[in-house]
Parts: sequence; structure tokens; C-alpha cells
Amino acid sequence: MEKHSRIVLLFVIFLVAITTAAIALDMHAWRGHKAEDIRVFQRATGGLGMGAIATPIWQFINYDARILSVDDSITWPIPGGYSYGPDRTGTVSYFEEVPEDQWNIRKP
Amino acid sequence: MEHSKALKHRNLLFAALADLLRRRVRSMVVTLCLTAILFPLVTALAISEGLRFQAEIAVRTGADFFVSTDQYGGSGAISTAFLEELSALQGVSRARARVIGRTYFANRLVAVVGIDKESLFALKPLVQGTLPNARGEVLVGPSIAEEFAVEPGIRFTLALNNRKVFKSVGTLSPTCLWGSDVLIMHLEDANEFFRIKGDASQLLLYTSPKDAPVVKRSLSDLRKLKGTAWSQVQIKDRAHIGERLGSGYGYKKGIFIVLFVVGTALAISAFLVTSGFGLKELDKEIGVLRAVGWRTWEVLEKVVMENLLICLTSVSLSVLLSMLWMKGLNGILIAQFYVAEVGLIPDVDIPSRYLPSHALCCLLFALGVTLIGSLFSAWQKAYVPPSELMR
Repeated sequence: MEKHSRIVLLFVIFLVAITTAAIALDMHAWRGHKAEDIRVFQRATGGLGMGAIATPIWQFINYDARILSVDDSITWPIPGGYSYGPDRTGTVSYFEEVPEDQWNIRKP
Repeated sequence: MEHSKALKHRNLLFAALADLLRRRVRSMVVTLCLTAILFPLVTALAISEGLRFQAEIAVRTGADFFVSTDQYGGSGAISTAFLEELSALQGVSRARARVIGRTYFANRLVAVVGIDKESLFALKPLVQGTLPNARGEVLVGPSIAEEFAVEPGIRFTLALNNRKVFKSVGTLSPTCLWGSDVLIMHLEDANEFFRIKGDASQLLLYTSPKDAPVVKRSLSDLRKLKGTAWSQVQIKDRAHIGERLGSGYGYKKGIFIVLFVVGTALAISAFLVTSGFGLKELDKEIGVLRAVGWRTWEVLEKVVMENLLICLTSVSLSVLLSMLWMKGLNGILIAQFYVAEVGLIPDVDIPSRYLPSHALCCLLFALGVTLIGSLFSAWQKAYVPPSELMR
């Protein structure tokens, strides 16, 4: 029985070791040329893209909140009152409209 | 003394391994169940981290200030006439204009980016082909080039303005998610295409971190000039955008909530199995151990070791499986749950970045799920007289 236990233990150690190595390699890859290529692209375009969306499908806010910081999909007259914006769900990021420049309001 | 202690822990470890082997089916079911729970969580964390990493570069290497106008409460185009005055502001090292728009390339929605000649030249290391030199020449994003077989030299028009003829002169190499579906061209070409003259989507200002507050103050002062065109100007600075990036990728939003709810719901089944729900055998086993002189803490340590081995295996399997799926298969079938509208077979590079903290987070989650049930159940049984447990 101990022989089998040893095999299982070695298997677990092997799994943990290759997982650690894989994570370390991935981290290294992200620091290298991959990051440099992104830098070149972003420097040239002035900074493009922020959210988990490849193209500004419905509007820009989730693609890049710098280009359009206003969530205008909710203001469109859609019967039923919901947004058709496909970028509003199912992503790992979501940029919502942030109130800006509120200090401009002065009480009479 | 130390040696005998170490020997005791070693023996407990082997006792735990022997138990896992003896209850082979149960061990495998729990491991697979946990792997299934952790896989989407690891994948979501990796995609989120990959995108966040790319977005952070976009914010860090992008401009310091983005100037546009306020049009009906949204961001509107700004006249390039402002550029001269802005570039003369104290602390501004560079000012340039850009056009960002969207249009359809055949049936595909693409971002149109219009930049100045100097910026186009900066893209040289990423271009396969040549850089746009003459008017009408464009660089095509890798996804469009691949899907529509757009090679350098091909001329095309787009439905939005079919009088404007473009010529592809180069393809961009894959860099980040937002560099996949783009058409990059001269600023003037973009303006001509969108039929807007003398305007830009944004004016970009560059400054040093030291001068940033000075520039911000100058811009605020300009905005206060009521009755002039400056009062309609909208300004976004890097710090503000950085804050939004943090909240945008926060765990409170999006799929994470869903994943955790689904994960916890599925974890209940693993919890029931590990806690020995319905297993009379476990009662007998603890009874025998107690009868041969095992102490309560030894029983509990063995249970912890069993669960730790299961959790380590599950976490490793889920990370490796997720990596294989994301790096090898580019997130086929699952990427669309995390990156909107990329389809079942994504033709854009889906970024995924795995960090030790992801594995640790999953390990803690798995240990929490399994230990809550099994440890409590074993602790309860360890206090029941062995004769009763073995009955």
C-alpha cells in the first residue's frame, strides 16, 4: 500500500511543480517582448482600449472610457427600457458612467 | 524528539494517502468536482488579469490629458485649432490630435484610428509591409487581414463613405486586444472618411509627472473662460482614467459574481461528499482509529492532509487545463463568456495572464469548501465513543 501511496504523493508533487513552472514561464513571457509590442502600439495611438471588448460594438464606454465616458446606451429610447448593448454583460470588466465635474454646480 | 515528531506527521500523511487510495472513487469525484468549479474561476481571473495588464500599459504609455468637447452631455469632436494654444501651455511637452471612430469592414465592426505622421512612423516595429506614406494608405489590424485576406496593395472602400478609396500597405502584428480590429490611417484620411474637416475626436497632451498638476490647473483655468469655446471643453487626465481602470476590473462587477455563485453552488456537492455525508464507513474508520489510540488532533490532521492533497491536485489540474485551453486553443468556446462578442471561435488573441495569487486564491477557496464540511464532521465524530461509532 505504501508503494501506491508514494506514487500518488509523487504525482501530486509533480503536478504542483509543473503548475508552478507554467505560471512562472507565463509571468516571464508577459514581461518580455509581449509587453514591449503593446507599448509601441499604445504609444503610437495615444492609448487605445481599456475593457474586455475587441471592438466598440454598441458604444465606446466599455471599449475605452477615455473616448466616451458617458453610457449613452441607457438613454436611447428602447421599448421595454433595457439596453441592447452586448458589451454590458458577460465580460470581466465593466466601465460605468462616473459623475464628473459635479463641483460646477452652485446653489443659487 | 524532533525526528519522532516529523515521523509522526509523515505517518499521518501516508495514512491520509492510503485512505484516499482506499476510497478511490470518492477521491476522484471530489477532485474532478473541484477542478470543474475552479476551472472557470481560474480562466476568468487569468483573462481579467491579462486584459488589465494590457489596459494598464495603455493608460501608462498613453497621453496624460485627453481633451474633447461636451456635446449634449457626451464627448464630442474638438477643433484642431485648439492644438496650437494647448501646446503652448506651460509644462506641455507634446500635443497632437487623433481621430477614433467606428465603421463596418464588410460585416465586421472595426475601430478607425487616425493619427499624425510621426505617430504612424512609431508603429514601424509592428508592421508587416510598409507604413502609410501617401494619402489613402492604411494599416490593417491582424484579425481583419486574416479574415478578409487583406494583403498589402489591396484597394477597398467602406460603406460609410464609398467615395474614399483606401489602399492597404501593411498589416499590424498582434499586440493587444484593441489592436486586432483596427484600421490605422493618416489623421486627414480619417477626417475625410468621416466627412469632418478640421476636427479631431481628441487632442492628446503629454507632460512630465512633475508638470502634470501645472497643466491640469492651466486647463481648469481655460475652462472657466465663460462665453468662449473653452467652456465647452471636456478634459480627462491619466489619474482619473487609472482610477476607472481599477474599478472597471474590480471583482464586484461582471462575471465574477456569477462565477462565484455558480462555483459555490457546485461546491455544495463536493462539500457533501467530503464531509462524508451518508458514509457510514467514515464513522467506523474514525471509531477504529480512536479505539487503537489515535488522539483527536491526529484524526483531524489526517483529514486536513487528505483535503490538502485533493485541493492541491484540483488547483493544479484547473490551472493547467485553463492554460492549455487559453494558450493552446485561444479560449475556444469559453472566451466569449469573458470577452464580449468574440464568438465561439475567437479570431482575436485572447489575453490570459496567470499569477501565483490566482492559484493561491483557488487553493484557499477549495480548502475552505472542503475543510468546513470534513473537519467539522470528523471533529464531531472524534468525540463520540468508539464503540458507538463502530456499531
